[in-house]
Amino acid sequence: MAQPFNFSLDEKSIEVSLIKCSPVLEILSNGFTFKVSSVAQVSSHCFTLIVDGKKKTVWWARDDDAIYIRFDGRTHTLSYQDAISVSQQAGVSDNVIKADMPGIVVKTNCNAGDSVKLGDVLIVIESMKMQISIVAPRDGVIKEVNITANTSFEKNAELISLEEEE
Amino acid sequence: MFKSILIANRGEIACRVIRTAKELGIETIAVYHHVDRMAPHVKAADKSVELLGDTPTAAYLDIEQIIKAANETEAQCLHPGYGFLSENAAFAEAVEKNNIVFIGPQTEVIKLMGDKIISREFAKKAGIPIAPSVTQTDDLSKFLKEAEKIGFPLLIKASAGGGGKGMSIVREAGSLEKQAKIAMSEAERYFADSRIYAELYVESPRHIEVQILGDGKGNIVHAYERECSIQRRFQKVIEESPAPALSVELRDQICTAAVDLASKAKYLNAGTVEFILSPDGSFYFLEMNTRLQVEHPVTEMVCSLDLVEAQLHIADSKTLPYRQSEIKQSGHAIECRICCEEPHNDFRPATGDVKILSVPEASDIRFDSGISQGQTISAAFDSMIGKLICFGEDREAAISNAIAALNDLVILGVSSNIDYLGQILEATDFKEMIIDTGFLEKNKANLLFKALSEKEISTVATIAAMSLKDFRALALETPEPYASIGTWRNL
Repeated sequence: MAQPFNFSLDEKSIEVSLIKCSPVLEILSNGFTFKVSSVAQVSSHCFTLIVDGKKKTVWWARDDDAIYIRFDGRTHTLSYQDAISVSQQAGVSDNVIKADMPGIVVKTNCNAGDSVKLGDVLIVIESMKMQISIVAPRDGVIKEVNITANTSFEKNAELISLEEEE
Repeated sequence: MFKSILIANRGEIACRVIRTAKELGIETIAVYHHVDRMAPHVKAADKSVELLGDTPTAAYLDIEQIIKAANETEAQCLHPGYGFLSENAAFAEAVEKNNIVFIGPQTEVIKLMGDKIISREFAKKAGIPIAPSVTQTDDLSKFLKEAEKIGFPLLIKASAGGGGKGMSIVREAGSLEKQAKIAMSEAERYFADSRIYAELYVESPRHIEVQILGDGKGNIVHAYERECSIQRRFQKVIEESPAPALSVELRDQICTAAVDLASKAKYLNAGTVEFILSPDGSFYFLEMNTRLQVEHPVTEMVCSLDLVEAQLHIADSKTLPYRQSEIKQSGHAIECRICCEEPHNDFRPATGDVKILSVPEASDIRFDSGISQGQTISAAFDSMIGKLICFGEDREAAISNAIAALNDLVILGVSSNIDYLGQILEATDFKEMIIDTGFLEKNKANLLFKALSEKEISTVATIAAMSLKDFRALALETPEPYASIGTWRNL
């Protein structure tokens, strides 16, 4: 099972982790298991989904580590420790994204030639039992992807490179 | 009609006035303090003039600078909105002295109605019922003796008062003197005028007010009543029209009293006469507001008229835009005041950035606001940032429309009372029209959401996780960079 995502709400800490992706999503949250399906984006900050058979329209916003969620006529404010802010500190030069510790590739989201925007998740890695999303350090085009899912890498390995900026 | 108008206000009311002025082809001029330079009222206006001030509020209260702005932009008339300088006689006088038409009543009428004791005396002479009362003179012991004669409970108020300052309820003779002295010192502190008066306090009162329009010559029409009993600390929270559970006979008596008062004052432009209605059906004059009210849209909805247009028409022509027989009340409208505050934290004002704003749109829903997405809500101004007004063919339909509209109204990034307002509309007493000014206090326990259960907390966290790009990247089959709007896939 993947590393849990940690939230807090009403001064309570909650761990959320993904159990299964198919046939439907199964998510373990605070000891309860939820079946999630039909996730669809409506607009940049609104999506719909079915949680345990009930359809929800969800609005959300982020403000640093605060997440605002509104559904079923009620607004909630949670806090969340963002993995992206951790990965931003990883060894990233302008054009080459390096691993600053050994780990395993969980997932790749890009191929050579893809255009990416600043903050897009390029790959997800697992290091030191932590799941970390590696995001694009700038807008650009992927030059090379040197790793594949479920393979390991060493410290300072060049994971992904971007085309030189024009 | 006027060629140009300066709006001496900000926020939702400035936007509201600009909307009608534009429809009438009038050039609009906004004024603003630096913190409001990107605010919707500045963007909406044709021109804008910056006001300097030590504090943002001070800028909007600076008579000299506003007059200067109006002169420099050659504004033909000036709309004061509500709050700020709207009921300041010296301001109205200064505007008129500069040959700019003030959209409001005559200076002397503003002064008359601005003083609670003088306006009560005026109403009494006009034959309008007022609650038994006694006015404080130099002799405090005589005042206390006469107040005691009226009986208890008594309400002590500041003569120059408003907004609940210097007000208190005295239930027994023993605490009368002490309370009177506290009220006097509060009145001195807030209004630099220590005069107070005591009147019979009506238990479980309702607050009913009447919208009137006058031509300045004694001709008055009314646009029926509004119920404004849902209040917190003397501040209105929800208003509606028509007033529920009010007989036609009683409503007509109240409207007639309002018209009589305004007629005697030869009232010019739009105004509101407020009354206290006792459960036994007797009603008393409370005060007259010499400006457009926050809650004017409910009247506009049920009477199908534009009160800002009516104000401009009257100011321009000194004639009434409608005959009484042309004003008909139809359907039901409810207004919810949207405030940035924390209902769970004793309604403490909340500040922050409006990260996401999404407003339901329909012909029977109106959202009057002065905010836009990305705007910062600061502590500099009132916490009310907008009003959601909903129509229905009857009260039940208006309530369910308003509940649905509140559900669909999204303001994320700063705390608001949206969910609390929904709870009020859902309350059994509200639906069954068991309403008086004590409603919010009486129903307090039912109006705040109960703490979330463990299961509910887990659901919220699950949904929060789904809002995260990282989580979706793991959970959904489509890698995020390739997904465009509407195509996240989850089979």
